[in-house]
Amino acid sequence: MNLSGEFTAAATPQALTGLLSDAGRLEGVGGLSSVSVSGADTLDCIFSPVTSLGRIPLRTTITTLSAAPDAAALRVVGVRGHQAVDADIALEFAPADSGTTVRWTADVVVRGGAASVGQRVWSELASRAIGDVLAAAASVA
Amino acid sequence: MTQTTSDTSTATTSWTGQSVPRIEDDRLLKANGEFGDDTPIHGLAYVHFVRSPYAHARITSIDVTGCDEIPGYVGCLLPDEAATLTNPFVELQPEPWSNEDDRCLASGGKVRYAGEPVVAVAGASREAARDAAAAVVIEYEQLDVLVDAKAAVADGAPVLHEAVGGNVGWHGAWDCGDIGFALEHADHVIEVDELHFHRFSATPLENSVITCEYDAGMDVFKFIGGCAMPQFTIFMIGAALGHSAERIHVVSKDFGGSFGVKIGMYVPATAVALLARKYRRPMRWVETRTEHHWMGGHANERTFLDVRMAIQNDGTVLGLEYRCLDDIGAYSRYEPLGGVIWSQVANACYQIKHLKVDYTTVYTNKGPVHPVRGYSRMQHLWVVERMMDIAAHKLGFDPVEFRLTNYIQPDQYPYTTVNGCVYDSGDLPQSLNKVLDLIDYDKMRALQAERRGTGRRIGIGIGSTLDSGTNNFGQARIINAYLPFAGNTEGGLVRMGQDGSIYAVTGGVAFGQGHETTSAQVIADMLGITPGEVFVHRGGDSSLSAQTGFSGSYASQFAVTGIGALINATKKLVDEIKTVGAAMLQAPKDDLVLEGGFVKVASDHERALPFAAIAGTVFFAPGALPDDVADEVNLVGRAVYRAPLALPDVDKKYGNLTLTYATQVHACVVEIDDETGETTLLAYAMVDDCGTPINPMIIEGQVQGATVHGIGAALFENFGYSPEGQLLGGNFYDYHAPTAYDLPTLRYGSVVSPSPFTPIGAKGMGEGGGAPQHTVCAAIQDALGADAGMVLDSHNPPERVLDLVNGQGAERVRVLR
Repeated sequence: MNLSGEFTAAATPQALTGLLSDAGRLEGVGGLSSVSVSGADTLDCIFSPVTSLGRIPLRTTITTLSAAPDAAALRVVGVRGHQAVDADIALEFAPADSGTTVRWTADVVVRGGAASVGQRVWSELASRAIGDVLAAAASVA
Repeated sequence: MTQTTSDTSTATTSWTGQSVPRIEDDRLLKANGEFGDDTPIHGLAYVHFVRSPYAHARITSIDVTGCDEIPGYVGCLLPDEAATLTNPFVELQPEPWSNEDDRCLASGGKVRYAGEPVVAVAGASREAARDAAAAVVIEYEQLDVLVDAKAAVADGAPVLHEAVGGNVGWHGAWDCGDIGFALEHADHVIEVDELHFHRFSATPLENSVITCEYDAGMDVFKFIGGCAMPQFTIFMIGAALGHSAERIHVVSKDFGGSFGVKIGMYVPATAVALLARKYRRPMRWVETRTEHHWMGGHANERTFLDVRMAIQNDGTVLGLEYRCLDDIGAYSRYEPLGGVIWSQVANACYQIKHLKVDYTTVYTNKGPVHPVRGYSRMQHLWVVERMMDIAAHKLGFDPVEFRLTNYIQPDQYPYTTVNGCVYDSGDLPQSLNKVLDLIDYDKMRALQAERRGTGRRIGIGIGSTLDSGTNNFGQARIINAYLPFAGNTEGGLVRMGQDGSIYAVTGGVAFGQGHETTSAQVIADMLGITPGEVFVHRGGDSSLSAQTGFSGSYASQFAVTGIGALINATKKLVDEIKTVGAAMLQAPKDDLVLEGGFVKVASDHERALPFAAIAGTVFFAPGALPDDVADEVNLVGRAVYRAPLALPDVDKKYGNLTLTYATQVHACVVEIDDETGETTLLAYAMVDDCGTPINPMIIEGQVQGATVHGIGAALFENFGYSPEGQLLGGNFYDYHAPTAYDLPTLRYGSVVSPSPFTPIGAKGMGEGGGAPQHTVCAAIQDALGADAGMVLDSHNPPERVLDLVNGQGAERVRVLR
């Protein structure tokens, strides 16, 4: 499914892209825990998005595919048991009066039991989860 | 022909043929049944499978260290361990296709469908097993996914089983008669590019439940749970584990449905057995509904290509040809038997003379198929029915007359098909006329005319089908000439207890069909007692000596094989009772009858002994009997029924593949909303002919069940997959099995054409032959008319019907002549 969203962050684009390798700051982001750098462009963490059943922790790997002053591309793979979520997220940064306008689009594939059981609600859940975590991350940049 | 008959010249009351209330229902309705998860076991641990979220991926790592943190975690089984401890499951296909490496957990370092078990985790409780499973971390490298059979056989397609060398799992060709000549010279030829029979399943009420206890002292595995084909299960597990068959004990108690799919239970059962042995603790796995939909067994999905039918001006259908790709999902399991099973009904219900079929079994990244009610035959029957229907519409034949013209006529039975199968009996014209009466055909045609142009179209459909039963396992040799199978048997045991009570057990395992009742009816007639006086063993037990190699409940055979074995067993018991009675009553054996629980002298009913006296003497006073009687009699009749089937000609693919052919003709009336595509069933009727009925009420119940299942498949039930190979119908919210709210009152009728080949003229009939798919498709087509969209898929939800209303499929159907 293709999702998109937009928000305004107080930080500059440079500060935002710098987050992608800053495990310490990301540790302070709500919904993220056990953040560690596992490779040159890779972070591992537990991402616990909010769902109607409460927070569901996903063992998550975030790979930075590209990062430029005005854009970044991430590949996110989250797994829990026989559920998996893959997301290719494209970020665009544009200067705004109060900081940076962040526009994101995501190609999300939900796999496993959730692909069937949650097919009518995943779009909303994933959209909220991505928007929330990006905004929360931007707030600590 | 079999020598078995039920006539023992003793019965004075005939319970056979009566709608005796089901004996087992008293237990089941009072919640006194014992299903798979009900059996208490001391020290039981539970199994949870960690399954792949990916449809096709390489496993790069498995980390189970997190499980140790979970209270109650017992241990786990990993794929490498399973590969070390087991042999690959036996494959039925010859090389190179048999090089498939199928085991109880993902094999060869790969997963091949979403939902495939990768790690089996055991916990002291269900919750502990589940939580420990959630702590397992598996990393995957994704591979390209195949969800389309045509793509799977295209050049350059990713390969599921590297050792097989491609995605073709088997191939066979049939060329019966001369279809080339027929197509060249027929007055008319209809050509259809492609038809598709969709993927659905039987969705039994009770998912699989497997409990395994391992007795280390005796080196015996005991499995408890619904097992539809125990001897096959023992064979597969025994071969995988390298374990003696006599040290594998399978017990089934009450059993909430199978309809074929639970034949595949040996796969998870092997993992449960390994855990039970590894941890010396009984283990239970209770399948969830989503797990069942992932891997519990789907019906064969089949794509028919380049379909051509030859027809004469007078409406005579000469024959047809097609290629087909049979999408079996990721593993062959019971396949590629479907590659020959379809040919049991090669002629469908018609007098066609020419048939050419090119059949290819194909792997895709979907859940494995298992036999499902109407297994492999309904797909062929459906395509024949669709072509008959399309031909009638396109060429302007009356749909009723067209079928009546081409039906096999009552006086043509036994009828030999193009491939040598022998249809035993039937009266299709009478069945059709009866079912049309049940839907009030003329009135519905008037309604159809009245509604034309209102946006709510009326369509009337007819579906004719066969339920072939009592397999000739020799047909497996057409798949693989080296398979050591031929014919078919079933076992039965009937004995008298020390108080004169009667006990019976059969190798058939009932999962809702009412075997306890029908068995009791037939035995009661032979022993001169009432069905309530016969204690029929519930389910099955492989230690009770009532089995043969083909034992079980599948392929519509119990009324022939199971009942046949019990008849033969009861005959032996009757003979022993009379032997003892003759000695005690000082009367000729031939002058004795069994009546009312007594053995009596026919000419003098005052000279009689109750069964209790017979049993008491045999068991407690053998010294009171003549030596030759006491030495021989044990009041146990154990017998086998052998179906009279010869080996088919493997090279010519010719011979009789099943013993009986029940028929069903259905008719329905649908209303289609042009704006939404919603199809509403206004009327539905079915006429069954399964030979001599043993219990008409049970037959009607089974016909109703198969009808509802088929209507579900036609309109609601679909195992669709996303392009990523994710199942889209993983629960009953997304996979709608119909209920009474979705259905009109089903109108039932019957015709009785006794089989000349079976013990009492009965035929197997529980599968139903997929008649509703044929019927509903025909009704939708009838509503659309001949110059609109063409119904080319067996599943027609509103979105597809809307496309059909707008002409979908019309370009894929051509009248060549």
